[in-house]
Amino acid sequence: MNLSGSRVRFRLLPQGREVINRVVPDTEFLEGFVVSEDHLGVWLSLEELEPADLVMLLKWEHFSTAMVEHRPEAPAERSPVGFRR
Amino acid sequence: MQDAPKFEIRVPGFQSSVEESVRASGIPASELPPMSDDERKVAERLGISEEAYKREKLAGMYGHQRKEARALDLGRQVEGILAGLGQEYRLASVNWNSDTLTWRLEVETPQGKQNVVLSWELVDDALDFRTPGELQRLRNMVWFGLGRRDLIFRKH
Repeated sequence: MNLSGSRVRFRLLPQGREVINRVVPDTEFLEGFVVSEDHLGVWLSLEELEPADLVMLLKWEHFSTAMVEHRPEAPAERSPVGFRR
Repeated sequence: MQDAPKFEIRVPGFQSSVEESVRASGIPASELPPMSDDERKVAERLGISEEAYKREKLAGMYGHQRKEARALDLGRQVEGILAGLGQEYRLASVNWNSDTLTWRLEVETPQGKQNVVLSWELVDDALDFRTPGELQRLRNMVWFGLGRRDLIFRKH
């Protein structure tokens, strides 16, 4: 699953909490907007971070789970291609 | 018939897919595109026949058309997103970068022209599946690119 473009809630591991708590104090869960992801981890925009375009790296080894709101969805209806009589 | 887009589309290059090469290979030789003198010299240098070159050229033209159609589709989706932000937001151009495999949108905003860069994967997911979730991901990335993080974290 590609997380980029989604709001995701992460459960931090102890070593992750230690690092992240310097930015967001005393939290086990971290919710943010995933701007991109790469081999290092996920690049997050947090509501509490300023300036608004600042993003933070959350390393893969710093969280145990990622929770995304997911609902089964049918694709939207598309107009048929071609001519009509 | 849909109106012509109010934004520019810039898709450089002629990359083709396997399907487009197969499609071009089935076209009668008499219907293949013509070659310029320069193209004849290139074919000679590459050691391939004129017909093989023309088929590759046709496959590239198919690929180019596919990418332009994708750019148009993306642009229309983004115009819908910008309409929700107000009249002072306008899509100026949709640009494909084949080196980084990204789409760059040029958007006129109250703060001046801004670029929004989107990965091909995100765009393909949104335009191929068109589920509310995939379209929301596209919307979020456009909002973020325009500095409207507030809309992403807005409580529903």
